[in-house]
Amino acid sequence: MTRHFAALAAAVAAALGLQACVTAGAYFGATTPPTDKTLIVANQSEPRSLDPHKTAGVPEANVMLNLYDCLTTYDPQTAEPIPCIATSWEHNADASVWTFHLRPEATWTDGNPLTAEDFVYSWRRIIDPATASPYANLLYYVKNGEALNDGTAEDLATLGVRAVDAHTLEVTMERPTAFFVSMTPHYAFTAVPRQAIEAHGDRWLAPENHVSRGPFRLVKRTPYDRIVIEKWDGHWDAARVQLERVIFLPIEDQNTAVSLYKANEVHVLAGGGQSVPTAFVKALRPKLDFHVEPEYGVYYYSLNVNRPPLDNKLVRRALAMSIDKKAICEKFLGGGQVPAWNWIPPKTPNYPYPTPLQYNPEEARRLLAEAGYPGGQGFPKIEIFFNTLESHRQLAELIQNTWRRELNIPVELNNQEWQVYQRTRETRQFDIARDGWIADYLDPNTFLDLFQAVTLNNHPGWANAKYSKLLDRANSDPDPLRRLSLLAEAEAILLDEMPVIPLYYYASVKLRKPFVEGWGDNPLDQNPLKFVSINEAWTPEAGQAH
Amino acid sequence: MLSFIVKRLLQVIPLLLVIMTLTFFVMRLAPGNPFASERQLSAVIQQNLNRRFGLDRPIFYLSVQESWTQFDPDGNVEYVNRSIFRPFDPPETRSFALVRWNGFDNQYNSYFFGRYVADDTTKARNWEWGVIGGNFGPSTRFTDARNVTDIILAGLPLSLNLESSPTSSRFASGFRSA
Repeated sequence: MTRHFAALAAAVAAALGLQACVTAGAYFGATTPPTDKTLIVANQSEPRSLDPHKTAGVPEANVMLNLYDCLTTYDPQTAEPIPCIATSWEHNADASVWTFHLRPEATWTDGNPLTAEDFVYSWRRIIDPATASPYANLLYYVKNGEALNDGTAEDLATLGVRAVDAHTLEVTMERPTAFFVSMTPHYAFTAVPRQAIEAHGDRWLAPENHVSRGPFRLVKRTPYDRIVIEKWDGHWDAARVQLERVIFLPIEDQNTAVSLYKANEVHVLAGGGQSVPTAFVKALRPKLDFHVEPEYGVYYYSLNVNRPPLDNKLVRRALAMSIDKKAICEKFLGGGQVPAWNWIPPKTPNYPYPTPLQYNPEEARRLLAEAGYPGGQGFPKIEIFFNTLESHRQLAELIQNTWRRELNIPVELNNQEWQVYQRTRETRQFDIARDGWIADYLDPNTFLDLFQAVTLNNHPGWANAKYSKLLDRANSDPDPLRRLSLLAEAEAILLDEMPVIPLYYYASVKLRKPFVEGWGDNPLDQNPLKFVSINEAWTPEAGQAH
Repeated sequence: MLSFIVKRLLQVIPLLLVIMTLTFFVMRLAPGNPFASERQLSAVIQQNLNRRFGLDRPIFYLSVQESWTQFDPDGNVEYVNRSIFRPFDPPETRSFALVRWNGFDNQYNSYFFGRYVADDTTKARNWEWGVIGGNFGPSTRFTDARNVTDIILAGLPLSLNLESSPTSSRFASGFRSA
């Protein structure tokens, strides 16, 4: 209760006070660059862990990305994998065996050389059920990964990863995986320091015991206060690194983060997702340091294809075509979200997006009549399920009204507590269920894979033999462009069958001081800080001219 | 006055035990678990997490065991452990024992409502004191090095400082989200 009151009070104060202050100037708040090469990042919440195998959160990822180099890292502009520890890589004809060539000069912060054996140790550790890693499932693409993690196989040495020599890592996949390299910048595939873990057990993460090998090293960690990392001069790429120090502050309250940003006590509001309260978005929009970019994630409704009347493709298409998604994004959400008609979010490099349906209520009514419900007559009552959250409710009400108005069909709403809701979705005890998917890697496969087979995350329960075959063919195709066109064919089937209605693509909404340079707005929201710098000579005049 | 304060402080001990017990049952009987978030975990990963934090064990398990030493056919000494009274059958051997009769075994450890008396989730020793001995076990919120006791110890001086100052009592509690 007190919390709600505090939030409300803050929102009112913000709406009255802060918003009024937003008006003047091209930038929001003070813009004097710091002179100590120290970047201060508002990092949402206190990281649960800095062990890459024990966490799955965004605030953790923001820090770990700079402590542990992976085989590859994210291109700050596109999020595509670029060489990091691995200088080059290749795969066999059907992409079932990958070979990575590691940089021989890379070492750990304690001076030990980094070898292929370190990766073998780490990948065995993350897949070990005793580690209980929330991201172990990303390693299921590696041979025997799933069997080892669920306990049906026990010998960790059977995991498909092998050190050919000190600097050559060979990975055998469970099945052909042509997109594997796009997963390798993810911290699930990094290497953890065996020497420190064996010497200190779970205490290896204390700053005095910590061994890493990224461009930065951990120097201070005070829970609920700050994490400080500093440039590590022994890093193989140290010449590139411009920042001396980065401070991550765990600020859960977005209003506080925005106030600190305005006062220049914080230079960047880190992702993912929306880091600025919606109430500010409109006022901040004209500011040059306000950034909105679509993210590689989609908010959608799952339609239970095993229940009438949603088992009828015509009905599913009618429901999808009658929703004005542009109005939802612009008039209702207003936080920079992008209307979703395709299943795959925008900005996938080289992907030939298939043509989706368009908003057309007239055609929707015609399809509904063709399905046997002219003017909505005889259409059974359907329910939209969502987990308890005001924004989910408001959107569901809006869609309920749309379908009543445009199609004249009865729609009920049903909200459930999150844990109950998860069960409802998994057991498919719904007509329509709110859903969302945010990618872990930059490849259409992460979205299309949901419907490869009827698995837990395939909430609509939809399966299609031709679709599955196309995915299999694509993922064993060594030619990247041909592979993407096969995936696009699969997406076209999905859009035709419409077991899911994509509603909007998530947006990353951020404030970033104009003197912070080298920060790309890529769809995965991943920004290695070795590419980031502070321009001490920056002035508002220079910024305007720019 | 002094005796009143001492009496009240002593009364706190059984009260805390009752509160802990009630909290334990309320938390365990509610649906879901501490790892639920917007990101849905697969059943296998959920199960691995539950095992790591001892949440796979039945809520209540009463067992009286006896142990003895005997020679196996090769003449080696072996320890035998047998449950002689077990009204509720647990789905697997790793579970709570309310009473432990004798203690040679490696498989059976004693629990009273999870880790309130004893805890083996660290696997360092067969026996470790639980909450009563000041060991609150690993934190489900901070899944790395720190256990709950460390987090409390790190935050407590700051909290005491703040609590004792007249202006503020609501910031930065060391107990927050542990």
